[in-house]
Amino acid sequence: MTAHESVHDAGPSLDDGDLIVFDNVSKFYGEVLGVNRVTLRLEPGITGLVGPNGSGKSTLMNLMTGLLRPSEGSVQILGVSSDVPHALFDHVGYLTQFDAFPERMTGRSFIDSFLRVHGFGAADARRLTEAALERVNLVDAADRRMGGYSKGMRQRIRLAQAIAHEPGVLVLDEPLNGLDPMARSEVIEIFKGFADEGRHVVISSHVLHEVDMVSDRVVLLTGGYVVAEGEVSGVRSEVEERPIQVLVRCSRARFVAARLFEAEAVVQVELHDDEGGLLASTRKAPRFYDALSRLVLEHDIDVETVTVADSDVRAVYAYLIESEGDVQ
Amino acid sequence: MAVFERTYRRWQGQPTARAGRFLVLFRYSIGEVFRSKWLTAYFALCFVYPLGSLLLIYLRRNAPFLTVFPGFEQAIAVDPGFFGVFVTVQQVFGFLLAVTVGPGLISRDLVNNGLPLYLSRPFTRGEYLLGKFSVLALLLSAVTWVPGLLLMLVHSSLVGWSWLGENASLVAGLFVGSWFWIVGISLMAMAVSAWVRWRFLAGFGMIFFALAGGLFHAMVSGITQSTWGYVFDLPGLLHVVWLRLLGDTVATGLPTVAALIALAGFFAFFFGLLHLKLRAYEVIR
Repeated sequence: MTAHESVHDAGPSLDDGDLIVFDNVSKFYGEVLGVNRVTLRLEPGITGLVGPNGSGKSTLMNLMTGLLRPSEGSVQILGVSSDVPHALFDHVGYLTQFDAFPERMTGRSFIDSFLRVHGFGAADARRLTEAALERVNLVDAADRRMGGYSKGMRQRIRLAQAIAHEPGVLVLDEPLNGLDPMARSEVIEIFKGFADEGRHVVISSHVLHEVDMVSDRVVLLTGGYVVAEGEVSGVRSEVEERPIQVLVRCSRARFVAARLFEAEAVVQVELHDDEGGLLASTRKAPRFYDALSRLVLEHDIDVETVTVADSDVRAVYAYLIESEGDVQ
Repeated sequence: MAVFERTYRRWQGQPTARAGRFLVLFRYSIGEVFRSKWLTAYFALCFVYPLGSLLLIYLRRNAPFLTVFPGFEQAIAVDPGFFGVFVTVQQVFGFLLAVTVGPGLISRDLVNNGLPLYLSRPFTRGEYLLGKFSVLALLLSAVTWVPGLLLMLVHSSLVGWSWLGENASLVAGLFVGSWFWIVGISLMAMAVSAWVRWRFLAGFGMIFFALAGGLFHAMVSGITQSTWGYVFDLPGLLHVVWLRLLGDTVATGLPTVAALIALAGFFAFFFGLLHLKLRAYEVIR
């Protein structure tokens, strides 16, 4: 069977040879956490990795590209283990987030040289270079030095470099950063074209909105953990429905807990053993804080501390949503 | 249910041999070096002394010239001392060439964050280093052992080919000593290039490293009243080893074995620096 004839369902018939599989993967840099206990099975199509800076996106991408090995767990890309990176490299194209170039090189020689480094002979490299240039619509500018390229052209030539060896997995680190709407639209069309061919396109971003526009699914990361994954709408509701926990140290904690329940401001309360405080779970933070304030004022409650105990996911989500204003 | 049809075709050809892939880096880097007219001019200047030496070798066997200057052949002896001066002069030219070319070799890729582009392919850090080293190796060979051996060949052709056999140790010393020197200076240049991203500063860094080693050497030797200060002086060590290989035993009292061990220490130090810096990713702590 030729590659053109193989057809796959997105459902259970997809085997590991079609997937990106992270099995309980952790990566530590000495004592610094990169990612922790990540388990993912990504199907072909566009996947957005989204999270704030330092959330582990780049670590996850480096693990996917074979540039890093996991400290624990295993990574398989289209059935190839990251333990054999040189086999993996044939399947993966990587676009780093850095917008810097050998300025005096032409676009054509830039792509050609990396193909030659990859192990393609002169004739194959020439042919694949031309195909990649056509794909990103840069044939006319291919013999100009890259120092004179616009931001959008630079991004397209970098993309051409990543796709030139016809990889099945394209890993793109912040590929839409700094692009104007026109360039963004062009680049997104290229991503979609790749995904339509049954390839994986993994895009990282710290802006949920831009990933939302192009992705079939998103993986939400924070602090090295995957906190949600699935379709964007699913992730949104999962985060929104997740209760936040608020730690309160106060007098008459049992009384406060009962009144918060009465006010339907909490879904769960745990009293501290010393009854000098409580841990409240709420899905309606404004109502919770209103109710707590009223209790304090009306019943002369002494409050020592009010702290959000697990603000991470909501805070990250809020940050990602707010970041939408930074783009466009 | 979504259906993904795989319509892309993976390349099915035969990859090139791994052994030669580093030459891609060599080709592009050497092209980059000779884009600079100043550097090309300096490279040409590096051949002034070898050409002068060639002229001397020729004239000392040129009958019309010797009739005018009859004592010339005796005045200019082509012996270990002659080639000792040759390598001393060419070391200075070669070092300045390495100072000019070396700093940009790796720092450009680090500044451009280009390493992931190389290392996310079937291409190792060792091959990357070999590609960069080959640029310096070619340039420094061109100003050291290549003209040196040519001088020996010319001299031998004039005085009789048996001269080469009789002076085999001198020929081997020039060749092997050159490679010690080329490897040492290249490793230093690449290590500085990997750690100092600003090329101009990296060039000064190399000169500083050489001068500081010499100064430390002088201090230690002065304090201990010995020649052990050499072990801190890379250019000095390379020079000593080279002269020893050429048969010059009076260069210094430092035992040859000690000089070789110290050199191995320097090489390991530079490899360590390169190992720390040449990574495809950056850990943000």
